[in-house]
Amino acid sequence: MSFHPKMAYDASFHKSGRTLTEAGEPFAYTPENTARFESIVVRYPADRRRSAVLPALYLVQYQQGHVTANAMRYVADLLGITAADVEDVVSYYTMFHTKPVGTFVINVCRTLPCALNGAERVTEEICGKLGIKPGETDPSGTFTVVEVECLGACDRAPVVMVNDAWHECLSPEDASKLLDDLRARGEAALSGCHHVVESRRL
Amino acid sequence: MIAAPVAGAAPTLSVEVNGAPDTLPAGATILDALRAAGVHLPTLCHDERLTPIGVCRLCLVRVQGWARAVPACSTPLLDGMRIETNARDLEDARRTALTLLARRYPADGVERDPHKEFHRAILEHGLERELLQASAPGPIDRSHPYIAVDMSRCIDCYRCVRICDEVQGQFVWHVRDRGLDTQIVPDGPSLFESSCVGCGACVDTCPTGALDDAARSRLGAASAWTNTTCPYCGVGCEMSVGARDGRIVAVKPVLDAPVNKGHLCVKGRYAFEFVGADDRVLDPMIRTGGQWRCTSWDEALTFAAARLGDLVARHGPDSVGVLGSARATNEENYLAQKFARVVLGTNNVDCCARVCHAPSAAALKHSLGTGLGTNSFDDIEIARTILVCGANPTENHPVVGARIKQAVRRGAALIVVDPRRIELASLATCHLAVRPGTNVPLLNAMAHAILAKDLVDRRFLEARVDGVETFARSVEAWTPERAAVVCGVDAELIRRAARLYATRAPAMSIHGLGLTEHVQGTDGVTLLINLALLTGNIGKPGTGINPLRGQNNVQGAAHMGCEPNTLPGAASPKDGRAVFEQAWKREIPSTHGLHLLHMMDAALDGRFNALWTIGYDVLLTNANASETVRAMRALDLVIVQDLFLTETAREVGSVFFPACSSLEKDGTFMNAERRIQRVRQVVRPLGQSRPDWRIICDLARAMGHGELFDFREPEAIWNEVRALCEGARGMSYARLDRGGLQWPCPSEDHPGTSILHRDSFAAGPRAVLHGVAYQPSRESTGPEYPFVLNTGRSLYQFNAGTMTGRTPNNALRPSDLLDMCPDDADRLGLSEGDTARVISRYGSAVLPVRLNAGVQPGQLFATFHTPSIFLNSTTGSHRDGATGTPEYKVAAVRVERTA
Repeated sequence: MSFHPKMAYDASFHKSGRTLTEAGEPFAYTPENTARFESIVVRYPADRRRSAVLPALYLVQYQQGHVTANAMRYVADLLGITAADVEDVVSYYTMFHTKPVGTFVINVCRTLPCALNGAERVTEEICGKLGIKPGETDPSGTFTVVEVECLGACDRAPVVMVNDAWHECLSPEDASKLLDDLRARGEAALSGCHHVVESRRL
Repeated sequence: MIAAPVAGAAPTLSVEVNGAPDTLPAGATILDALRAAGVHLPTLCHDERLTPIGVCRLCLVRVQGWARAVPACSTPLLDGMRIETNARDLEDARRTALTLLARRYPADGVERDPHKEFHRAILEHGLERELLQASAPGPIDRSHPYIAVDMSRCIDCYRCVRICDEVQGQFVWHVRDRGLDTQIVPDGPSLFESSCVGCGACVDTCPTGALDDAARSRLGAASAWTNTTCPYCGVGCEMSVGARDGRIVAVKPVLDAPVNKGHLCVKGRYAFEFVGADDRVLDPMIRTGGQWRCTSWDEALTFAAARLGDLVARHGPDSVGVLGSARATNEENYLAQKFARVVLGTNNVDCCARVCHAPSAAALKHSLGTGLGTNSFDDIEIARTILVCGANPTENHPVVGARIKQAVRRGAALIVVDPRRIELASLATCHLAVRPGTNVPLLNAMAHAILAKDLVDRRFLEARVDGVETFARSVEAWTPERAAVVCGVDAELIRRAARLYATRAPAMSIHGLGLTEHVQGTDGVTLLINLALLTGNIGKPGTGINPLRGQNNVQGAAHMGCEPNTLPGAASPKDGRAVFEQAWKREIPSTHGLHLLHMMDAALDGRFNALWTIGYDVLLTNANASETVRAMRALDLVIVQDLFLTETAREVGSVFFPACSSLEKDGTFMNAERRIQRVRQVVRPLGQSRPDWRIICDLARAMGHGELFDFREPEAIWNEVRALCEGARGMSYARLDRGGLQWPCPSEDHPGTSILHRDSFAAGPRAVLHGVAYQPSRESTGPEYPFVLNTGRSLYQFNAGTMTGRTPNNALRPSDLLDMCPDDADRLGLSEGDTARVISRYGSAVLPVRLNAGVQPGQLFATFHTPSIFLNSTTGSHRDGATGTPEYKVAAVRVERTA
């Protein structure tokens, strides 16, 4: 009993050109991280669970080293928000990685004060020594180099943040030596000048 | 940096713009002052509908005495400000900001659409040469039927993100990454697969055309724009319709419209192509020997007049009837009932209010003295508590739905009474998921809880309400615990909702067909009114009883007298008879008149022989379709006046009058908040189609009553209404021109009535609380029919799909769906997309299953938009006692898997 005309409109629409973060492995917190998450989320009102998005993502990154699309969806479901909400946060903060990274993530500040004090030379030195470009990880999986915006230590430019440790007033030679040190001594070579990230206090 | 307004500042501000003095109201921004002074500054991030963010830095101005230039859009205007806009350094800063954007922006975009805000700014500043000559890369998304996305033209102004958040409240657009890498992306893999609801607000605000109407490439750009009122729901949004070569090609919202304030929904904004659909009937037709044949207007009118005249002569005037149309204008509905009463001599006239909000009108009239909704949509922003009862505004009245969502975001408490977890329920403070058909016990229990805790408004009751004691006794037995058992809602939740509504004033009640389309429809509305009276939530801003009317002019159709017991202006035959008899120089029949359902009953009994149905597909939309078909087949003559060959025409039509849509004619509509607004002709009527008012006048002339139907244009008809109805007297077309006026408006200097019952009720100074005894629905579930089927509408289709089914909305919702909770589906072995047969005592329908956790176990929900599914085959024959409104919301059914 239909009188609708044949639909005159093409329903086979083109797909969007947008690229998504790769889904990655299925993700779930380990039991320890689940317990940590539960202890964090109760700090926020029940109807404001979304406020826990940053610590929830720290846990993801500490667990698997980076944040996959599946992990974003997992966090979104935990907090009752959309995966896109989580993606906004992940993509905004340079300290979240959406691809696997090396043991040491070297963040070289490229904002004006550091740039004026030779940050580009520092980047060149590190990249040259490792044979990679900014944004890449060296073949041994030890180092990832990232150029980032202001690290908040302009008075001691140029600044490099390795994982959570600051290395300041860095000349290209200092940077080269830092790489050798990190290779030789591992974490012990870090400056010890830490900004305490919330998840480390858990 | 932004200076706060000084406390106690004068209500008007005296300022100076580029040396010229000016005064503005307090609360204005510097940008307002510039615009008032006629100073043009380009803006990219500014939109009146949004909170200013001042990031594009194009509207930088200097205020004398301030150290730095400030953005005009986000800086409040202060008294005594001396503002300078054209200093050399400001111009330089503007050019620099624009140049930075231009260098990443493709030149061909500017050529294609020179009128877009960003392109205009580039051209005004002579920066064409800075533009990127290559085509820039950027995600292109053509997935959505209405919204084309080309992010190579995005300048990151965030207006789409903000309007989606702040106006529609949908949060579709997201900002991914930052700095130069920023991308604006939807919350799904493509816009089509995102949570987008197609309102087009982002397209409307986009200053570059990165987001654009997809139809523009197909239909071309508009060459002329006409403001009119939306042809869809009863919200009554004002829109600007663009045409090109006699064809409608685009729709935009009107920024200063009182109802929609620059917003529209997917139906109003995009679903307009039904007007020129291939199967529109453009010639009058007569059916002989089962075959339709095209004919001339003269022959069709003469034929219809002769047959009608003959039937009246043989069986008496009460054997024929007329159905006015919720799609037609006030003027046309006025003429339709005048035709019935004067030409045919019968009160057998009705409209589709019968099957939707007749219970609201009846209850409101009984309790408060007038059947009209009491407050305005603007009260949504005033109310601190909003009670939404049996309505799903985000789908069916989307612009009101969006306003409610924003009110809740700003802190209003929301109570939702609905068996389903509708979108608003997820935002609600309390969601009372009642079993279908148990509104009466729920509302009785809320009254009980209010009385038990003495949360009533004593002063209001003493001053204006009678019958409190009697009513209190009638709800005494309805403790929340007892209601909890009947309704399936936690008793504490009922108490909490009652407490909220009673104490968090002002509280506004908004209801829909989930309250009225029950055998207890009028009772339910009466109880809702009682809650408002008990708590003093009536006659004040942010309060009231507000039925969301389903169709653009269903309020007007009933109000203009298309009801057997109502004369124009909703006058009762007793009070109004003298006025109309004198004006029409005819006696108004004293018989009671048949309403639509009674017409069907009488047809089955052989007492009713002919029906003229104007813009109303009775067969498809009446409940219990098989009985409706039998009744309609029993008629000797069915005159169908419509745009398309409706099911009614196809099955039982004798004569077809091709009418034209509201976009092809002039007149007025009356929305749910009683606002009369102008309808204007955008394109000329297609083919031989005529506006309904002309057809009615033509037929009246053919039947020898031309002198009472001698109208050249709708304004003359409206002026007759104004002369006869006090409430319309002040509403001349000239006054209605901008924004309309709210009924009643008794004189030319009257501002219209935004809130009814302010100081006294229409019927007198005091209202009476009417107690209601609960009579359960007669539709009983059992082993044979274990499910309760609830019917309703969805966002992308409208009613019987006559209009939206002929637009690309079909791509957004191709078919009716049977919503079922996953557990029930599991038990029946059904999964998403399977087809199932729904069988009731009255008939059956086959439709695809959708798993929906928002539907409760044992319940089903389906829409009735798809004619081939014909869901009303399954709805029942029970009716509201007072008004005859069918019980569309409760049908006992079983579900079978089809092979």
